[in-house]
Amino acid sequence: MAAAAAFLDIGDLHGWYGESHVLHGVTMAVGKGETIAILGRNGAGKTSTLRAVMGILRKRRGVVRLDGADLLALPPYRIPRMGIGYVPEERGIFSSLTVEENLLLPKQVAEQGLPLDEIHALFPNLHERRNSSGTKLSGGEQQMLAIARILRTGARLLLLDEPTEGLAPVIVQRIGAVIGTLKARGYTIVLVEQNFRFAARLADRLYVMENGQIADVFATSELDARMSSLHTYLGV
Amino acid sequence: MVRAPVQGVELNQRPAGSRFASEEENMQMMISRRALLASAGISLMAARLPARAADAPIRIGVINDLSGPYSDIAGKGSIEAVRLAIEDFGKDAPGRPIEVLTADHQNKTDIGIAIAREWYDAKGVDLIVDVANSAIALGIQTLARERNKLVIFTSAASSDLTGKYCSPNGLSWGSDNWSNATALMRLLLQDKVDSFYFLTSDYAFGHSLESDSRAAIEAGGGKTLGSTKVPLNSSDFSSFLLTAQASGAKAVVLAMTGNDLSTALKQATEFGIAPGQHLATPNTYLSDVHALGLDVGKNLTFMQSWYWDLNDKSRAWSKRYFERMSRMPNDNHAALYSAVLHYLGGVKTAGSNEPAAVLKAMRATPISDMFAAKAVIRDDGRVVYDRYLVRVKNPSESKGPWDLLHIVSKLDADKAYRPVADGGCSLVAKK
Amino acid sequence: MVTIFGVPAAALYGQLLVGLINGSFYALLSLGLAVIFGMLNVINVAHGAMYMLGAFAAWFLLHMFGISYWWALGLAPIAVALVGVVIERTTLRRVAHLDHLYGFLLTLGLAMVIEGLFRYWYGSSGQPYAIPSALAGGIKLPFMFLPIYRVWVVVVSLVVCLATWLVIERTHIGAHLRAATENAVLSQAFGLNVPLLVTLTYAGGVALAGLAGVLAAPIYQVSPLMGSNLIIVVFAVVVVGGMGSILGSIVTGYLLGIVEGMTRVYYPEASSIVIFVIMVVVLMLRPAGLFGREKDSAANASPPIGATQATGMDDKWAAIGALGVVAALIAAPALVYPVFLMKLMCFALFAAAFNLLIGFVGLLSFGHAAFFGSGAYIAAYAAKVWHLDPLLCVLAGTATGAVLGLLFGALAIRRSGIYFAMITLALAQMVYFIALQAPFTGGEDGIQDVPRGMLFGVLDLQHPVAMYGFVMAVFVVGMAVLWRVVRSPFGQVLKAIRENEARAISLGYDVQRFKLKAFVISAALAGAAGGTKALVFQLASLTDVTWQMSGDVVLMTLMGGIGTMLGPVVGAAVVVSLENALAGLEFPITVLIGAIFIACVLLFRRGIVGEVQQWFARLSRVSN
Repeated sequence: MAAAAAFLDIGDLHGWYGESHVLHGVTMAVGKGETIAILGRNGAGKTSTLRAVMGILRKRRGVVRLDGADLLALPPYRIPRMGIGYVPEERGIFSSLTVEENLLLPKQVAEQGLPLDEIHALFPNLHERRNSSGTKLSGGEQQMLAIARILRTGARLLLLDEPTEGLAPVIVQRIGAVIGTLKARGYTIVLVEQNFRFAARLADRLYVMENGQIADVFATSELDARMSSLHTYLGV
Repeated sequence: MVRAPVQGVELNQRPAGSRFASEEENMQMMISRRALLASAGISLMAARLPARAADAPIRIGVINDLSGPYSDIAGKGSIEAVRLAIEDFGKDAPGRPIEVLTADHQNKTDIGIAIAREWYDAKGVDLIVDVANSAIALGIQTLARERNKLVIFTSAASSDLTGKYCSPNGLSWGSDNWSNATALMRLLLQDKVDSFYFLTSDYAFGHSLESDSRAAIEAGGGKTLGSTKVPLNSSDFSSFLLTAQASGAKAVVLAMTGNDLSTALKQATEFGIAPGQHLATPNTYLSDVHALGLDVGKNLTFMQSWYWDLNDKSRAWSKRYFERMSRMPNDNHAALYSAVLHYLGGVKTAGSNEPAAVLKAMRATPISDMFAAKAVIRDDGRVVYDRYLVRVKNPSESKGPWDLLHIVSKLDADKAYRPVADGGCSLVAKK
Repeated sequence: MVTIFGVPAAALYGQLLVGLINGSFYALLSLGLAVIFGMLNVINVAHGAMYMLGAFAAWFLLHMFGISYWWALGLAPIAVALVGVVIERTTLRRVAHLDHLYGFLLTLGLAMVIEGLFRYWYGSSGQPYAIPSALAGGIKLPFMFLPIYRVWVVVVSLVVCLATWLVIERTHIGAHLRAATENAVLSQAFGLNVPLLVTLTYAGGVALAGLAGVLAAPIYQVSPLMGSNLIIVVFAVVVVGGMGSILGSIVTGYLLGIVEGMTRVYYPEASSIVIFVIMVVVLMLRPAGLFGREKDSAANASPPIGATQATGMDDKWAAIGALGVVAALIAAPALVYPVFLMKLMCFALFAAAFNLLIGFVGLLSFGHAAFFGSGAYIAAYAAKVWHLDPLLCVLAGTATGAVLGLLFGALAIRRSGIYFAMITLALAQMVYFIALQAPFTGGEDGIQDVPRGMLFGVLDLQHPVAMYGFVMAVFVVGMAVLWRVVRSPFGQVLKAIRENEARAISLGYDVQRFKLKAFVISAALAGAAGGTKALVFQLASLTDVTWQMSGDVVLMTLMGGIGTMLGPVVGAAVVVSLENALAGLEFPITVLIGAIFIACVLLFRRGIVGEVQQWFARLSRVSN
């Protein structure tokens, strides 16, 4: 376990959708440059955690800090500007914007953002289809767009919510490769995944959530040892 | 007897947007209503003598449009005219306290009639004046007859009020559509303008003005090519004006008044109706001309009963009016002054409020005042006097903001108004 | 002379041009409205007032400061935009998270306040504003004399519409706007300052209205009423065009102006309704409008209007309340003016009927005056011309309401929320114009001198006690019917539909039929209330079918408590009493009523009865 001060520090985070209490005191710490994955079955609270960090889940209580800065006190639109890139579960591609407009939508938050030509090189499809409506792309292409979009901003903390969901294995591989590259470049990545094998290949540590709480956390190296309990949590 | 200054008791009922004007039903309720009235704080003049029938206040109700398209024609000016009459009356002959009630009917028939009903039934109003809306006027004419009260119209122009809807309890003191229309149509026909197209305000007043005008046109050998009914309070007349233009008529008659008239004229200028076609505006008031401005209004001709600049008497009175209103009076304001003054004289002479007695006294007394040198109350309720044909001045001719009209000629009383036998009034004895 | 369908070609071309000019105003105004609706999901009823403010600003600039028209073209819209910023920040923002109908009601209140104030300050007559000299005069065409200023209007509006479209569709800031419109929450997650975008959008939208006002000032009257005359038509344009669609509102604005122009040539009486007829047809065939896209209604997860009432206590409360009301009604005539009480009962029944729809089905009908007024007209006619027994007259009114309700319902029920409100509004406007034109209604004069008649041939309703008893009977029966409906299994299904329509469908209920039945019952009772009112006042007039009357009943229900049984009765009592008490004041009532409306939407959404119920519920919770 990294003893260094957490880059992303979540402490006793509670969250509600209306009257529904969905997060019951989530605690996790992500070090700078780490890649961690949050596993758990449907409804465990994984997406809600990310939404709570981003301010999409409005009713929250607890501690959320990025490099020491309190995120809970900020209005939602300021949170990305702190250097967080969010790829939502539904990908969040706007149909009323073209591919290029979708790509350029989020504001640049730091100079380390990938320049446009590099992005076009990394994702050539996006360049080709840049004037079509965002949602005319295939599922895989939309996922690429969603990732490309936040790379341009220079955000150093990436929150990826189920990036491989519903995609063909070949695309999944590609995305895995992209994330691997990002990891190598020192990005801090929080990956929410149901596909734990995919997650295990990329993550340093694995968190397991159940009923809105962290049920277990262990290093990827310990995965084999924890396999049976993991299967219980995931209901496989 | 104590002097009777005007009571500032203006129960200004302005139920804006309220279809909720309350309504009195019958005598049974009147007593409790009076009690309510008293507790509502109406200040009656402190009389030294205990209140007896002879000392009961005379109540005059002024109902018109205070906030809508006709608010400059009658409006607050009418209230001032009535006040002036009461002051002048009080000056010569101190007598009973006189109260004025005012209300804004907003051109809504149900509000106007409900107020009138309540005034007659519950508030002890003896006389309602002005009205400024022909549909409401017709309703009040019926009410006054039923309740045996009086009404004097000075700004309701339907000539049916002294024709088929005449009443022994109602007088028309101001101009009416027959008078305004006929003289003007005859004039135009004389000038060889013999084809007409009408743009008509779509309610009782407009319909009446159009039918009176058409009758005059036919009688004079002219032709009406068509007519378009225009909703009250329209903001854009362009389509209607275009239709009128396309008809090829030599004259376009704007059978409307107030705001609608000003707007239509303004847009008529925009669309170049004149000089290709003659613009006839039978029912025009000084306030309309002032609102229009001389650039747009110049050379319009129409009838007037009186003008502030007519003679010394009119100028003197108008000066007093101007001091209170900061505007010059219309001819209907002067007519209202004359009517109320004469009414009060009639009450004094008759010694009672009773309508028949008052009217008898009014008919017996000659009418001669600042408004008319000589006026006569006919059997059908029509008050007749000499009228004037006027022309709006050119901007170059005008020497002041209210120096707007030029008197062209005078029309004798017997020619200015519809002959008494022709109106179809049942009160007129067949000779 | 060439004629097209019997009309000279020259006249036709002229009217088409005029139609195009009117269309320019429609396009500019509906553009602003569509932009605002897209972003805020609010139908900005105050848009007409903003248009009026723009015209007044121009007039003010000229007459107070001698600033010419040319400057006003820029300054007035800016001034109006500033007003828009204030409005959005202080009021709209607070209801953004609620059912969007609250936003609609809020802007309605704002419109009333603004227009009422201006009416008070300036009267209804217009202020003069001259055409700037550079644009005066005209071009002599073969078929008409074309004023230059009007050409200018068309040019400016085309340019502005095009520019706005370009900005929205082709620029970076436009992309931000489109993203925020499509999904505000997600846009924030990408760093877009959505609250600022919302404010700017509202300000921009009303600035467009303000610009239209400046353009209108030289040719129409600068009057406080200028907005309210136009606004309903503009709503219709927006709905036909597709409520969030920029292109749709522009194209439809011009198109409808031209269609209106053509109608004026061939069938002038219909020119006021043609737009509404088109709207109804379009909504039936293409519910999202000509260019519109169905907005994802799941994105708005706020509780439906009326769903926030405490339930539980209803039975006991209702019984106490009912007894209380009946007792009060019996005792009151000794103290309070009986005619006033009768008026109150009619409006209370009207409001209660309306409340059935909004409180128990979650549908805001903005055209209920159509049922009320039609009931009044038919009852009046039945009494005056057919000499029917007064009970039959009231029943005729009820039947009229029911039939109209069936017609309206069949057209409107498929939609919900703001679309439903708009359709009912449009249909009610059609009824208004029919009432204006139809010979039997007496137009502006109304049906007067309606006899009250002899009930069952023996009881003379001219006698105040008899009439009072009759009205009270109608009121009690009406309320009882509503009570039964709400309490019945039918009523339970209605509530389920209100809470979650999809779930109700999945449970196998034919939701449309239930809604339609409720609509018809509501309309029928409104018709009964109208018919009774016609007999009480012995008059049926146009005021009974105006949209202001529809707005009044919404206010009564909102103020009293949506979704409660007693609420509408209390609300009607308060509003009617207020209007009576305030009638003597110089200060216009519309302003006060509008202000109360705003206060209710912002602060007292539960209404009087709702708040009282809540208070008691809290008390009992504490004591347990």
